[in-house]
Amino acid sequence: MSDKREKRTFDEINEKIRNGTVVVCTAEEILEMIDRDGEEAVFEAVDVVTTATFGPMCSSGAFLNFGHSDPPTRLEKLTLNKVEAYGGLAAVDTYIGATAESEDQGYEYGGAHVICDLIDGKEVVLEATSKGTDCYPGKKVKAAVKLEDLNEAYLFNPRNAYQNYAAATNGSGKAVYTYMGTLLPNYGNVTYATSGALSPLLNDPELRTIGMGTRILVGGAVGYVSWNGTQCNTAPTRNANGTPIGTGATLAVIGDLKQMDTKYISPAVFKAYGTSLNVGIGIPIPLLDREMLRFCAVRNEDIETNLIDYSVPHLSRPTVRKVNYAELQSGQIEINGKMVKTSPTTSMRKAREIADILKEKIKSGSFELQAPVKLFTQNQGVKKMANAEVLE
Amino acid sequence: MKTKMYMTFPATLTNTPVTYELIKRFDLKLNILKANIDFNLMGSLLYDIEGPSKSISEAIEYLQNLGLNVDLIPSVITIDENRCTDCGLCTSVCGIKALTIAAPDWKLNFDPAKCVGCNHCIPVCPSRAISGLVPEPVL
Ligand code: SF4
Ligand code: SF4
Repeated sequence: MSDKREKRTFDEINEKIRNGTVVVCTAEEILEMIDRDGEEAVFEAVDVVTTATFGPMCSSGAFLNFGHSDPPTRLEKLTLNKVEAYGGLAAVDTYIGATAESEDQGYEYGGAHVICDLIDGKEVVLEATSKGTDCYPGKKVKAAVKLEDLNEAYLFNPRNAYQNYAAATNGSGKAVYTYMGTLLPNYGNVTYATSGALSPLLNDPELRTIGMGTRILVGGAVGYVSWNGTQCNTAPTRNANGTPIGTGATLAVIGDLKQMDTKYISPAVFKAYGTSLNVGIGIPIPLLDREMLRFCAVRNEDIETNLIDYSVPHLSRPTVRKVNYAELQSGQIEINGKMVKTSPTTSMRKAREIADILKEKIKSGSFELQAPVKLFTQNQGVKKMANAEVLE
Repeated sequence: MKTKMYMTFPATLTNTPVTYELIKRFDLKLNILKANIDFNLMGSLLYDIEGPSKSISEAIEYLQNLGLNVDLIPSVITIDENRCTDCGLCTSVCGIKALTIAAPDWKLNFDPAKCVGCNHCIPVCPSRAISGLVPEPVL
């Protein structure tokens, strides 16, 4: 039929956002709509699908600029609440990584805590030393600063929003402590990440609409995809549906700390592992064509990942079995004839909240879609460290 | 009535067979969840306790007269809802399934009656949202 819609563009969608006629639903809601009305009607009606996730993302951190002291001091070695930050930038710029641990409290208080304390408006103590130069004579400086005192403070996370992630278990005789939680001996439990069918990059598996410049929600604030994430694998093994099995693409994201809310970004501490940062990310996916709808129609039973034995101390760990997210989210899966409990590490409750907030923002006209200024290279794998010799 | 009872006793009473007395005198159903005696010979006991409220009150009075600190506690752990992100990770180490999380709402559910006070969930919570009322033995 000639009046049937075949495509829609970013511009058309933004026009509808401006005149208040845009139709938006979450990646979970669209599944119910498809069941009820069929794909054809849903494609006609829906313009944008919102996706989200909220979970620990270690490769995160923030750029901060403190302004100058008088006399000026170059922050060569510095700590924030006793957590080391990077001193290799210009005089009063720094980057604090989420996983850096404090000198006095170890991983119970790390970079993630500093970042979230700043967002909460708390005072953070900067201590820095320098050799002193003609233009920066100060050799030692101490300052109690709040977020509002900083010139710039933005989150810049080199690797977030993993497309898919291996589930974890432990086939050895003793407990293993990981960023996937405490894994009990003899396949005593299974933990898994990602928000499954609600997860951003699982709804755009080939990154056709998400690229550099995509406007997103990060930590409750409007942010952007700034680059592909590190270790971005756009050549993963895929199932028949095009969904990567195991790890896949990643995103580097940026957002203003001054607009964030610790309801959607919070520190995470993993026993005998370290500090990490729970990051909430919401990404809108425009239904540009029927293929995009098919991608967004992905269900938990279509998303598979590998269950990995984390007790094996090598880069390539054995796969215990393949498992899909419907099985993982059911609460138990079978391993070697025994039913084993499964637990998430990603908060579905928060992910849903973020997908809903994004939906409301788009509907109310306060969030327009940004077409990517560059799409990421496809069919690119991940290299191992070259010529490495682990000495200890 | 079924509840949990936590008591601590001074070194002088470490050798008093309180569990025996509670069963014999007050006909209470007891299940010891945790027993500990520290280096100073200070002891602590955590029970699941079941019986008529009257017997339980009388038992408490008896123990207090002996010089023990006794508390009926509805829950051995507390979860700070403002910190909890409902990530679900704590459920992975709660073998007794006092902590559960599931579709459709994916909110953490805690059943204090099932909890045996093992404290395994406390260090596992990435948000440090869980605290225990009964301290771990100091080793
Ligand atoms: S203390 Fe033990 S039994 Fe109680 S909720 Fe935590 S893990 Fe479960
Ligand atoms: S591990 Fe902590 S944050 Fe996660 S659900 Fe349990 S109590 Fe909540």
